[in-house]
Amino acid sequence: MLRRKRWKKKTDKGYETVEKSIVKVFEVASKSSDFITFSPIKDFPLQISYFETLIDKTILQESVLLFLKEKANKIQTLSDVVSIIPLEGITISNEANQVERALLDGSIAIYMTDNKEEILLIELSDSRLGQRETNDTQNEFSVIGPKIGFIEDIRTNLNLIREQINTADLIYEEFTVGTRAKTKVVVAYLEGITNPEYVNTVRQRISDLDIDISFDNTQLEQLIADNSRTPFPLYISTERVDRAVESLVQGQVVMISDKSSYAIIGPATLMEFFSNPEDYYLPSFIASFFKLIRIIGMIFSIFASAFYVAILTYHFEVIPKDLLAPIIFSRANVPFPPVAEALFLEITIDLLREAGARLPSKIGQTLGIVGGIVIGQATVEAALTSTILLILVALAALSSFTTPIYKMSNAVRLLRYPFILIAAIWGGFGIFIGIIILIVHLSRLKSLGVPYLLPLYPYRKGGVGSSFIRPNYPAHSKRSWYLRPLSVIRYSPSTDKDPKEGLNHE
Amino acid sequence: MNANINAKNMVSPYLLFFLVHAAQTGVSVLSFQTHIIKGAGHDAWIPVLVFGLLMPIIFFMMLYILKGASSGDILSFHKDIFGKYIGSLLNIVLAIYFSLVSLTAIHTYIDILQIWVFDGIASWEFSLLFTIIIFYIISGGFRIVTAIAFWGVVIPSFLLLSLVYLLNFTEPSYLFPMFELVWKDFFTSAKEAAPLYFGMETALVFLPFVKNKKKASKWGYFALLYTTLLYTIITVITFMFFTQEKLEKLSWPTLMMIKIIRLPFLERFEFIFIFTWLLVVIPVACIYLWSAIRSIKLTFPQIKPTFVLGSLLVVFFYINSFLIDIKFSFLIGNVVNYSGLVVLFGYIPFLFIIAVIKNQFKKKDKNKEKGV
Repeated sequence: MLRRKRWKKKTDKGYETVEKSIVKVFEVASKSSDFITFSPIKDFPLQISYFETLIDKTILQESVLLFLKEKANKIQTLSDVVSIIPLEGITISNEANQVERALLDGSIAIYMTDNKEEILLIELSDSRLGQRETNDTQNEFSVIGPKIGFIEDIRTNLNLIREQINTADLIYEEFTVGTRAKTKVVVAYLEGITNPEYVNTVRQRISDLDIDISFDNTQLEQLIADNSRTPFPLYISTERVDRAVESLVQGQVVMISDKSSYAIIGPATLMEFFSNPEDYYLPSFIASFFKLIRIIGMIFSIFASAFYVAILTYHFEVIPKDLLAPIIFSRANVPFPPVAEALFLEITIDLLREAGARLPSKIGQTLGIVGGIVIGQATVEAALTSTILLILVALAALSSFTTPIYKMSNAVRLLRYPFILIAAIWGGFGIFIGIIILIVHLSRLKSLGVPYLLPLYPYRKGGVGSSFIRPNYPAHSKRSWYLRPLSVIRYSPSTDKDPKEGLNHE
Repeated sequence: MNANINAKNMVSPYLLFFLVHAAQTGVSVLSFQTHIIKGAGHDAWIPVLVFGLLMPIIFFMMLYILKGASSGDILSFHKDIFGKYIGSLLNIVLAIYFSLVSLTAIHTYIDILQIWVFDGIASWEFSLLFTIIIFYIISGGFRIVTAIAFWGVVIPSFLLLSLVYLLNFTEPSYLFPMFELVWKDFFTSAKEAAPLYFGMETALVFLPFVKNKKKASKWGYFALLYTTLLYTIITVITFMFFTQEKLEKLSWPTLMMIKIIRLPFLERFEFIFIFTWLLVVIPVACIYLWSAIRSIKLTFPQIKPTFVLGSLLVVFFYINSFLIDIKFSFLIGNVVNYSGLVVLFGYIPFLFIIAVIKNQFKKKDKNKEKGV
């Protein structure tokens, strides 16, 4: 039921020349300047070839060349080499494709000059080469709690997860994606907790995928999404380890791919995007308050400027008498209709945001001053906008940034524009038409076959409360049963730790 | 029973509550008080209550009819009893009735919009918007229609708070002396109150899409009682709010009451009320139109449902944009009221009797077989 119906027949995933010989592989590779071929032993027909950009040179020198030269006289055939070199991961191959793959994964090839049909491959890859050393979360920051995040190396990322959940139930399944660049993608789940339907769906979608090169997990996320015509992210993409681990424990599937610092979590529901791992480190009252602030912020951010436009264009009757004076006062000199004013300011804010994201961080700080103070102050003084709208738009921008997941906060920002436009044409009626379209759109969305609005619609008992607040730990001991995990109860806390006190026990 | 409906397209039993309630509450809630006082005067809330309490009986009849149908809906029941041709004809008549109600809902709402909020925007703009969103909703299938019915009950329920606000302005003595009505007045008022309760007859078509009929029917009865309670409360509050003489002259009493609400940041609450009422009207239009399309689809399986939807919406668009004369509104309003009465109190009991007789025959046949 959850799987996609359209079973596409798998095409031959080869857009390159399929027929290859080993000689041809070496011929093509040697065109690159980083492909090195040399003979380690004088007057002996043994050669070594490798991509110097991919291998660890110290191992090559200390473990391969040293032993080869020491025992050069013992070598007659390739199989002698195997016994000499004290490394694991040595294979002998005569298949062109395998040789090519191994070379590109960071192996060195050893062969006899006169017989290029048999190649000895030794894996010497240096995966940490070119990786950053720091792995603190920069985009999903939290004040308390671990600040460790994923980096662009799959082995580190898998290690980070495995260290947190050290149980054999954590299963990693590896896939390769991309016909030209073979990127590793690992699907992680907890055996006995995650519903196998989700794992099957992910497995099938990834293996059905036909793409030449996958740069990042967030790209993969869009490719395996249930519906690609939507501004909303259908999976949570996070760089926080604790968030990925938490969702594994909740029974969700986590996807991690090589060269990507983001993990994707699915199936995701709309309300999950507004919770933050930090909620779980704060007392539940405070966390619930923050979570509500985030949700109200999202709603405010979408509708604030749209209602301003609708009211000032059509429904000025709804403004109370006392409020009318400041509005008239601030708008008296503005020559534009409300919609032009609102669009102008909204686009300014988005320009600032985009410029801030693109600029190097040192220049970015000055931009805040230029954008916030100079432009804001000047536009009001130049009577291009009213101060009230400036306040509204700035607040709306601020509240859209409270959404923890970057992709979702972008979706929220984008939604304002259609609402402003529709409010300018049909006033409040237009906004409500927009709300209906939004509701219908959200009801149509699915993430890994799970309705996106769950547990609000279809209503599921016990889920609505925790969508809006963060329940305390004794009340939150169960997984969300509507996500159909194989086991529902996580832990059974003892509720009453204090000895009995109070009026009834005196 | 419902072998032909995929479980993927079915909805949970509790959603029948929202479907029935959403189909019942529509534009008429904004204006019914003026009509019902014609007979019983200040006692007219009694017919509303009694009429509402009659509804579960009709609903029981509907469930009984559907139990005997070959694929669980009235469309197959028609074909079972009346044969292929007359059955198809009846299905089409039903489809016409459903689409007419759907049309009226939108037509009246556009009227309200133009009278209360916008006088400068032409009807065709509104009807174009309606056409687009109704197409978007219904083309998503029954699950999406249910979704909009669900949100169309949940979101507007905050408007109920306004009733609490209104209690400050009521005068209970307007209701006294109570129980002064005679039978004739009672029936006049009851007839006028009937359109309030139209809507549950769509269940004749969509019930096969609800899982677990036994559990669901409970939710159906619950929805009918809730609607009745709501209407009675609104009626009583209106009668305590306005004097009878004043009420006779108002065309939208509910909105007139709401007008008194004032918030520090909002001078005229009825704007919010009218716009939120869109969420109440859209489910009515969608559930009826979906039922009409379902009837046509099962009668002529070779026509694509999206095509039917598109062509009906084009007709809607034309009527809502250009036939905006007040006489025409009265005309379709009356047609809908009478045909609704006929369907609820004539046709459904009639089919019920047929279903009972049919079951008797079946029993006899079985007994005979046993006897032999």
